[in-house]
Amino acid sequence: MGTETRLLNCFSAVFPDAGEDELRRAAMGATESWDSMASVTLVSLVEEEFGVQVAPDDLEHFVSFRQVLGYVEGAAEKSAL
Amino acid sequence: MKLVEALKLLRERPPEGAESFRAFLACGFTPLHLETFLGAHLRRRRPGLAVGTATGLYGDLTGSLRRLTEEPGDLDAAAVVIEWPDLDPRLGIRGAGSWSPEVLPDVLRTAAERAEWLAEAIVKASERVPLAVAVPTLPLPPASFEPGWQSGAFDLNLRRTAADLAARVSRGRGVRVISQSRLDERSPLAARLDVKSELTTGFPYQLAHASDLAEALATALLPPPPKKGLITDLDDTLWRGLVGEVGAEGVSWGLDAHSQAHALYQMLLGSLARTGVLVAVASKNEPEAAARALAREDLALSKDDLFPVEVGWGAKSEAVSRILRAWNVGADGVVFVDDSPIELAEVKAAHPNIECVEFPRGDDEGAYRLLARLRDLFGKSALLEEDALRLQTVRQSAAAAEEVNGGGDSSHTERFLEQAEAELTLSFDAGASDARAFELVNKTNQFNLNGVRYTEALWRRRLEEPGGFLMVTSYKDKYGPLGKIAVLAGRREGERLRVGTWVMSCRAFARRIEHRCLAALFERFGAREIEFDFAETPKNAPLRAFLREFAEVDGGGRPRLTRETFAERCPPLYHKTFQTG
Repeated sequence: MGTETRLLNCFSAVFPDAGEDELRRAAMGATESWDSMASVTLVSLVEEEFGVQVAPDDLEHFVSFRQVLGYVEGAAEKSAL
Repeated sequence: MKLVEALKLLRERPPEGAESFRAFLACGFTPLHLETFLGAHLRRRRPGLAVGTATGLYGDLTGSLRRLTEEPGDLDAAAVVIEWPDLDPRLGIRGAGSWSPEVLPDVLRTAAERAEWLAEAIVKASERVPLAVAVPTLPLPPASFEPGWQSGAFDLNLRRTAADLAARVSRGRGVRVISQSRLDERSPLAARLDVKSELTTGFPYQLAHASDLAEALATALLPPPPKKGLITDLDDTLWRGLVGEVGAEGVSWGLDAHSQAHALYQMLLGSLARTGVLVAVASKNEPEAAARALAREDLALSKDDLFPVEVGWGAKSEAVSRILRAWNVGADGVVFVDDSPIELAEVKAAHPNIECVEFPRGDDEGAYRLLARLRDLFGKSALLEEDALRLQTVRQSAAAAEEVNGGGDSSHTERFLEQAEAELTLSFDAGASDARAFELVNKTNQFNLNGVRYTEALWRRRLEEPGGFLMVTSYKDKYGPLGKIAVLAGRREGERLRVGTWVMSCRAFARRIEHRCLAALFERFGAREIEFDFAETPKNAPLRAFLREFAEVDGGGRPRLTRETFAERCPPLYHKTFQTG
């Protein structure tokens, strides 16, 4: 399963009513149910799914699906080096 | 369980008409994923329930416990999770208090006082709602001056405080304390604390630990019904060796003969028998040889604990059938233990609902694991008076059944009932706290009006409904006491009684106790009619047959019985009856 699909799975667990396209466009502020609880849950899901530790300073990436995807892909590249 | 699975499980719709189950999580930290996992594990344990969870305010364990005591509302259960900072905030990592050696005695003092308060509050809350309690599961912070590899007075005293707290609350009615050692097996201590999460969100657990702890809490809140009976093989199971080949003195159990696993197995069966578990033997053997071995004085359980003993050369499944008939217990309440996979498969084919367990011959580790598994299958939170009577009553029932059937005609039955010197005590003052009544309602299958099972909180609420009544029936006759064997509950609606719960132990069949119960209801309440909330279940044929004989079904499909019809159809009753309440 590709990174994007795995991340969609995480987002779908937090925003169960959103369709796939909506999830891809999901962003704090634009997505109604994206509150602080959703952010914390997303961080935990990403850590669980991708085996990464999200540092407090990296929480700034957790504001949209695209940014989280970029963060996860960047983390994967770093660990491959 | 992974967090993503838990969230998805919680999203699934419960079945139509599912009974609601509301659980409260009381903890001093941000409940966050622990609440998610608790809800998910409760759902997984009982997919038929509509599970809902609620939590108290962050950092307010005190307030949450007060709420449980003062306003439990419609809660069915609660989980109380205590961590070190709940005993003293200086035992957490979010504060900025001192860890200086001179403050440590004060930490101990505060922790002891706080534990005292918590124990009292938990015991009090448990009177209103069933509780699962976890005492600190996280490692202590490095607050003391000793190196980590040494336990000093500070560390040991804190652990004693936590252990005392657990021991004290475990005596509360309806409190189930989570086993630390079982949690240790599942969740390694070093992989429990999530420092980053605790510092950033106030949630102290790594996800895997949160799931393991939630699973333990859910199991304690919705425990599996304990199995009722165990059927054991003899050769290479109850003892080592083949008695038909080496003789009664040749089979062994004990350290000297390198067969201690069998001695431990015997000890466990003896213990189970004393807690009301029925234990029987199904063995392919020469009956005389087996009897000689079972009569050995060094057997670690009493041979009187074994009933029936089925030894012969027929199929094991047939022996199991005879045992189930003698016990009057369904296969789903029974575990069959044998060292032979073929025998296990043969029994399983004939009795698909029986739990078949292989005795791991020659494997001490495996045998030890088996003992723990059997304890889980048969374990009970508390022992009741009826547990001590169970084997005796089964033997009595078998003897009585033989007498009833002995003559093969109805006059013999009448003679037997007339001469049984039966006495019934009908208690109308038992109340929701009667643990045996609650147990009967939740484990009886055959004589059961509708198969509805209750949580403790729901049972209490049903009995507190306006006009509600509860009748708990105890029985004894010249063959001995059966203890509390029937429960009937419902409510008065004018001159009509509506019965919502009616169960009777299968060991009390054929004594016309059910007839006497109805007669007592008509008499006590002066009712003209009894209406039954009957529902057919796969197992309640005995009650169905009884209602078919007596009651008439109304347009809504609900059986009703008028006082006149009952008087016409009721056979002679010979019991002496006493009422309380």
